[in-house]
Amino acid sequence: MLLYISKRLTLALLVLLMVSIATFALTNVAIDPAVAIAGENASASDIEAVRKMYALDRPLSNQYVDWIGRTLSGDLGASYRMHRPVFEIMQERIQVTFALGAAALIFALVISIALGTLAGVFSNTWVDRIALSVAVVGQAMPSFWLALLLIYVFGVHLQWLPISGADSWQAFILPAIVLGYFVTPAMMRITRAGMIDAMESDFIRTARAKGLSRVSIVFKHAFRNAMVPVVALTAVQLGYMLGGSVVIETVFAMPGMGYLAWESISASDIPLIQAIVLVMAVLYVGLVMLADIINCLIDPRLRRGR
Amino acid sequence: MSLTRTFASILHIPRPISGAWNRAWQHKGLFFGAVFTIFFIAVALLAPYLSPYDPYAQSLVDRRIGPIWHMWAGDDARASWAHVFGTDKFGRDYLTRLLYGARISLFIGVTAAVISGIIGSTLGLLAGYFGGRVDACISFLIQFRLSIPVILIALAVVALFGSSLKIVILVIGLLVWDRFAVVVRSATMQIRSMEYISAAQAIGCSVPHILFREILPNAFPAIIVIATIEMANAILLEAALSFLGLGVPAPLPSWGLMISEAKVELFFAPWMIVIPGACLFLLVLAINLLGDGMRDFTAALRKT
Repeated sequence: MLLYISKRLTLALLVLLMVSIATFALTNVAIDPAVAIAGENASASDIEAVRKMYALDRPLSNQYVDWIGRTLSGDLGASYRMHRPVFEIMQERIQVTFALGAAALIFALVISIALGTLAGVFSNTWVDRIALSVAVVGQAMPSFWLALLLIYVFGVHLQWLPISGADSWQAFILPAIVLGYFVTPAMMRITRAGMIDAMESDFIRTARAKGLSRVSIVFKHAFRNAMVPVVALTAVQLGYMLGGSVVIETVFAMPGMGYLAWESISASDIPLIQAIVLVMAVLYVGLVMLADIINCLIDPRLRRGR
Repeated sequence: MSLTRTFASILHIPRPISGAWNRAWQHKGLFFGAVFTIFFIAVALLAPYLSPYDPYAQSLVDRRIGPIWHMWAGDDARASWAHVFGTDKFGRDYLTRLLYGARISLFIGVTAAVISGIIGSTLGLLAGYFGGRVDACISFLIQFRLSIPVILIALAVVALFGSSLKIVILVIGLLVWDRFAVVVRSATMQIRSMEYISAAQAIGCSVPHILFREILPNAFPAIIVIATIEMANAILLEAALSFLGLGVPAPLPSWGLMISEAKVELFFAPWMIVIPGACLFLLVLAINLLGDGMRDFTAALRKT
């Protein structure tokens, strides 16, 4: 087990190393940082001065080693656009994203577990078909379009909920629903599949034979077993939500990491782009690794396989 | 999946293979998916014949004409059958742009799926056939790919290299090959131990011949199913990128871009958001249903 975790950790670190090199290389190849700092109307001599001042005239590999060293010690540089330390900006923004992620996760878990369990217990009935269509529709729904429709209905037409910002808890309702629905189909399908497997297993037959009530069979025995794969999937889905938050936060103009990503990408703010990609990659890689380790803890068969 | 289960129960009764098309016909999802996908393909191909307008032609006098239901409601004197869904702020016919938008979505879906299919299938074939170190390397590549957030990277790359149709297709195609690789790898592992592969090895067939002539055709049904799913994903991803203003560039009638342009008029002209979004939703739904249906169908055929 420890061997597996250490192997998995090495893999994660290697992936992060590659991500950091790729981020650094891509940002420096595509945008000349000196031009980005000096601004569009800067003269050639201004750009040269900036290049000297920020030590951008050295080989890229040296710059990378410098950059990664500073990043690891917690110094993420300063935003070109906002002239503030990147670390400070991200600290403010990440709270909004975490709050949104938590709310969306709760919504997704409630919907997918409730519908998935019902669909699994009553498989091949109308309940199952409703649950299946919720999943099929969710997979085809462009999340930004759903967001705009909800904004129109609940924000503009009915005026029940705020349509942008993150100033009150009400402002989180619509974004959380959209972001949660984004990950619901996969979670619902796996709950349903787990429930069907559990209901058909030997221990449920034994429980039935013992004459236990249906409610007790479903909730005490089948449900627990069906939840096992859902736990691991939840970690992966949290990672997906991180990506989805870029779109959703931008639609709702929520000052979170996702919106920050869009803002800095649009403004070619290199230090911020690099930092956001890295932080998101660390979170993402961490969550995927967590899912793998949970899977491995739960299912001993996987331990020997690798 | 309930449909697979119903199929399985049907298949306990032995039936001749000719019943397969009947079953495909009865599979509602497959039928709906196929009909709507064909519909969108037809619309995309026939766009110049379906509409008399040019999707790029601007007309100052025809700006912001209301849709046909505004004529029925008497809200807008200019609304008429000449512009069924009205015109946008540049006076371009909205329906025409929608029709041409189907071309962009389908083109991006197909090309991105082909690019990612070639990359993913090749990697999957190599990893599954050779195993050992090759497999370890390719599995690492797959892990690497799964560990990067697609939307963020796609946004960053498009922003850095400038937005064009080519860049969007390349970015999506180079990013979403993971599912092909995973599926083809496990399919290859299964096929590799079959007798006809040993036979091919025994008579001295070259490795490329075994990979591409013996294994690939047998993994093809699985590849096609993944291709439909990835096509749908690519279409959604392009729409999201274009919506964020970092996808295909402005005058192109991408549905995502049209929604983005209509966003500021949400209050006055909600249909300009609802209609392209509904097209996007229906197209992706149809392709997904087609893929799901084909998966059930090939699974059912294999069992007979």
